[in-house]
Amino acid sequence: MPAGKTKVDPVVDNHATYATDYFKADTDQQVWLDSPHIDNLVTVALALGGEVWATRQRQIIAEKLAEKKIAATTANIEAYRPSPEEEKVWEAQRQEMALRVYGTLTRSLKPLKTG
Amino acid sequence: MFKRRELFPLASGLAGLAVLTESTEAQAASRDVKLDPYKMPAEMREKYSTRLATLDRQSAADFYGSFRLALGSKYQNLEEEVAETLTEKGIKADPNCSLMEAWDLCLKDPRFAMKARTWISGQQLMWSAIKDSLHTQRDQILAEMEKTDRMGPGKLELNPNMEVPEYTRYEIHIQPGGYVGDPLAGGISAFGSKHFGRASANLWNDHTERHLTFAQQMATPEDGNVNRILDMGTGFGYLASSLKVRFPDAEVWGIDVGGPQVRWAHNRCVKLGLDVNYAQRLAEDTKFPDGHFDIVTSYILHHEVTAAATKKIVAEAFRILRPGGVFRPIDFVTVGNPAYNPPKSLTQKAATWQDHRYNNEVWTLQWKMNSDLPQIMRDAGFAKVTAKAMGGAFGDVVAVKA
Repeated sequence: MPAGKTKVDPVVDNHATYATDYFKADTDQQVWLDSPHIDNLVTVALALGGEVWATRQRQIIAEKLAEKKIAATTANIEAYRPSPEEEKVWEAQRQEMALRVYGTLTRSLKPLKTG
Repeated sequence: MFKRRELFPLASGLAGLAVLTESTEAQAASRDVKLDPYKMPAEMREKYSTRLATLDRQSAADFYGSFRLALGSKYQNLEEEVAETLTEKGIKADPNCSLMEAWDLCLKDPRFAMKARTWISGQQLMWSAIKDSLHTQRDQILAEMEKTDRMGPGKLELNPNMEVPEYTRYEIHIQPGGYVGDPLAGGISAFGSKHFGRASANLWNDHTERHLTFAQQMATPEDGNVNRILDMGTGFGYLASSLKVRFPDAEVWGIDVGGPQVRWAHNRCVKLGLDVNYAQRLAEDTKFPDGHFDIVTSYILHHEVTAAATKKIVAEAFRILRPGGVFRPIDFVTVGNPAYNPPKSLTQKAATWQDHRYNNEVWTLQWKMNSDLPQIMRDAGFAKVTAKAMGGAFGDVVAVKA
């Protein structure tokens, strides 16, 4: 459990925050993979996946806009709203990418048992 | 009395639902609007959809959620492999070991440790994406909330001098700042809840759909009178607003300990044109008169408060309900519910400990394993209590005041 509260400013950017001092969690101090460097690298690898997908997502939207003869400007890409069907496709694509890139992390380390 | 009717598709399923005022029912009647949240008309879906301000951060957050879904099911035979690892290391696990002991044992298996590491890393990265995105707009968001604080149709009550209980000041779910410690905590919670509630493929608004569904399923008093509703621990306010959509004539309140939470909830309802009142108050001390409400509810409030607070909250719900009023707190199954199924295997126990200790679900064990909700309700005076499974890990517990 944390020892003390994290202080919160009652005013930021000249605005009242209505926020309150709180107890910070210590989860970011945990090491579960033999070395903190390994724990850190797993987080880094996962963060990279998020960044790669973010880039790919923009590309997907840019291609959609191009199909509709709409310029793939930053504003148009940011304003794009997918249909429910597109959201399902994107979800499937993200999961496929996650399995393709990170599936190795789930591999069994035990010898195959043959019947 | 309200009269049920099928109104779907409800293209104007938001503010006022003006189309319904053409009803031949007496104007005093309380309308009960039925809709299918998972088949929202385009106009409603557009209004209810939410996305982080920048596509990049939303996309990254989406990816961490998809990662969890995709890899979570790929750890087959983990229980057997942990047992094998322990045997190889000459360790005999006590089947009656504690949750913490199970966690320590399971961590000796590298595959279990990797599953735990990636789950938490994904959670941390998700929160960072959300917080970073919102805080890049902090000045703009706070300025907007300052304006909408004083706007209607619903009221907002802030109590910055209120004594905030210590137990509410933890970073639950490792949310940065927790529910009370960040000026944008309402938004951080709202976008985070979308990440948790990946039940729908409609990722940009799926938690809205869940709350609309809970509202559609809400138990009502036998006499059908629904004039006042309270959502305790409303957070970012989705259940309260969803109840307003179902009961547009009712006076709906959402209360929460977090000022930033109710500000966010109010700001959203101002923009949606929904007449919902939000107040910074405690669920165990609502300040409402005796017998004031027809329905008192909450969504995943109790597992985030102490067992002692739960008893006070249930007693408060009893006090403010009118005779015949219904109390339905939606939360995880507890002891005392026939659907309760405690963690038994080593990996189940370890995962429960991970959630409690490292996902910082500080009070969840007091709730699930040590709070007999049906009995607490009976002890508070509720005459009729029913408890069963609700789906997922939730219990469906309904109490009626005689």
